Amino acid sequence: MAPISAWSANTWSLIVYTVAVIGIVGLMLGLSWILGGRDWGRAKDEQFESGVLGQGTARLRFSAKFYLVAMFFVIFDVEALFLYAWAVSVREAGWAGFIEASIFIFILAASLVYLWKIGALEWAPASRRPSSPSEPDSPAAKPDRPAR
Amino acid sequence: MNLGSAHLTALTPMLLVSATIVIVMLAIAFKRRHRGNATLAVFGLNLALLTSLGMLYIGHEAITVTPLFVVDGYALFYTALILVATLATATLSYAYLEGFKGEREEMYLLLCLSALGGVTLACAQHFASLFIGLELLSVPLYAMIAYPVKSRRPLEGGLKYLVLSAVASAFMLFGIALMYSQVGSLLFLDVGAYFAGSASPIAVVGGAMLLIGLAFKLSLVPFHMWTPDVYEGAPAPVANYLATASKVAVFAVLTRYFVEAGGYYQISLVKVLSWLAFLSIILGNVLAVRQNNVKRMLAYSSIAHFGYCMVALIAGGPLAVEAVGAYLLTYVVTSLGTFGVVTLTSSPMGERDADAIYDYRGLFWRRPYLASILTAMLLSLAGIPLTAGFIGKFYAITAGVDAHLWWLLGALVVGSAIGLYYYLRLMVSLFLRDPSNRQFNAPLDWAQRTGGIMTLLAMLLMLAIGIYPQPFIHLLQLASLTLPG
Repeated sequence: MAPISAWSANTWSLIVYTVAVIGIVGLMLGLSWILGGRDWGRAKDEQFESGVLGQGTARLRFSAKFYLVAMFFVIFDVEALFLYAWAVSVREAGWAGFIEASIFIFILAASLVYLWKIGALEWAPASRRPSSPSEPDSPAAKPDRPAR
Repeated sequence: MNLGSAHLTALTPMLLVSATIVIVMLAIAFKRRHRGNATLAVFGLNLALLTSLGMLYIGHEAITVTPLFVVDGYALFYTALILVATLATATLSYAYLEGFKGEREEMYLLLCLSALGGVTLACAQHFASLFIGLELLSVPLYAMIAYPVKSRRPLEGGLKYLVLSAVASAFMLFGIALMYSQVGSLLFLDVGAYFAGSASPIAVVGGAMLLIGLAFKLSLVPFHMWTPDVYEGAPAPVANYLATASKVAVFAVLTRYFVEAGGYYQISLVKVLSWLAFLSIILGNVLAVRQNNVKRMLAYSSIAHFGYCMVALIAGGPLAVEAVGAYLLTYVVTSLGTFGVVTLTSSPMGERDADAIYDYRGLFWRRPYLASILTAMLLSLAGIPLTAGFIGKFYAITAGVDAHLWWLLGALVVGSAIGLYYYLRLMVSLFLRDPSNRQFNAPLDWAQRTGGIMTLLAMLLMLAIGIYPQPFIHLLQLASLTLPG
């Protein structure tokens, strides 16, 4: 038998680990499948909602605006992270860093202007907006803001 | 790392494209005008193209800008090639989108973003910039493919491309991570030095996964499944962009990876790649024969063409980079013309594009110029002498003969023969009798339209390369990569 080199020892430990993981998962699922009781009933088919009876189905239709705004938030939030990195090293980065950060902020601001102007931040459906989305209107003038 | 003025000068094309993106975005925000916004985007891209060509001709030694980018003749050549393809797409989109009943301006924004990704790839010498460039290239493409979002086919194509592209990116990231775990650096040169010695199998697996990701973008068989559907679904100008700029950018970075990051040292992977090339040539051509849809046929033919180009890459040796450059240059010029005619026949955009072979029946009797251009372009795709396609194939075969890749060359010859059949099939239908009910009428004033001028220029350039290739060969020699060591 060949001597166990460092590489093959590593590989073997990885293989054993993988097999063990698959085995444990299989064991857990398999045992609960074999040992677990099974019965059906009208009330048993309902989802468990912490004791509250479920109402309606999960097939609700959310307004796409909701996702859109959530996505904008994530995008701008993630980009703000870069500013934190700059903020902790503002002295070391010097003027060059300042100029780069300014360009970055300018591009962020430009994209915000773009989103605002194309009406992506409007909450109201298009039919209930006071004016066409191409014309700027201040966010305060929105007819129906969601109640908080 | 300090950025000096020399570095900024070297990055000028990239900075110009970035500035164009921001300016076009702000222009759209304040005033939506199709003509104005398109002109702005084209102006910025032209400026970037002129600077990159100027820098290429003046010629200076490679400048490394941060560890991520290197600006050398090679990078500038491919930057110019990508920008030319982008400009052609912008021109074609303008005529095409006139018939689109939605907001048309964002197309140019997405196009510029994608072009920036391509330019990043051309300059990438680091896995981080490779990945950023690749994502920047393809994320806007999802939106561009699904641009007419209300119709079914583009949406389907866009979703397919999104999902499969994400899978390919995941493979690639994992591959890069595996290589990094062994090499400890993401720089191409360090990875190359590592592979020149004895490489551990983990790194080779990483290299293989990276190649899977890149082969997906180049749609080499067996990673080609998405290509025909996406090409068919995408609006014609976007299909043009997919076939030219996006693939050229990926091939540019693949070649640089091979030369600098020790792709050639991974003998087993080169063998696998030659099988991929072999399969791409044969399957791409055979499947193209069965298509009645011009866009699908061109999709399969592009699979085959990238198989040919792979032959030049696999051959290695001193000629490889030049041969790849020659092939890509001729392929881009020819494809721009072909897709240009398809787009012009389909524009302004209607219910569907003119993509059935039947739509081209008798085109010669209705639109003699368009049909003549298409004929010349198809001959070039087939690689007939006196056209650009011949020069490209000649280069690929020369590189292959140098490296004694006999069975790959056999596939190339057989593939070209099959290719001639389906190109001729389309060509013949151009000259058949005009069917009485025609659905597509390219506008009569096509020659005045910028798109028409663009396709005409593409044809003239194609003939120029075919008849007098010397200036272009000179250009290719400016764009050489030097093998390390």
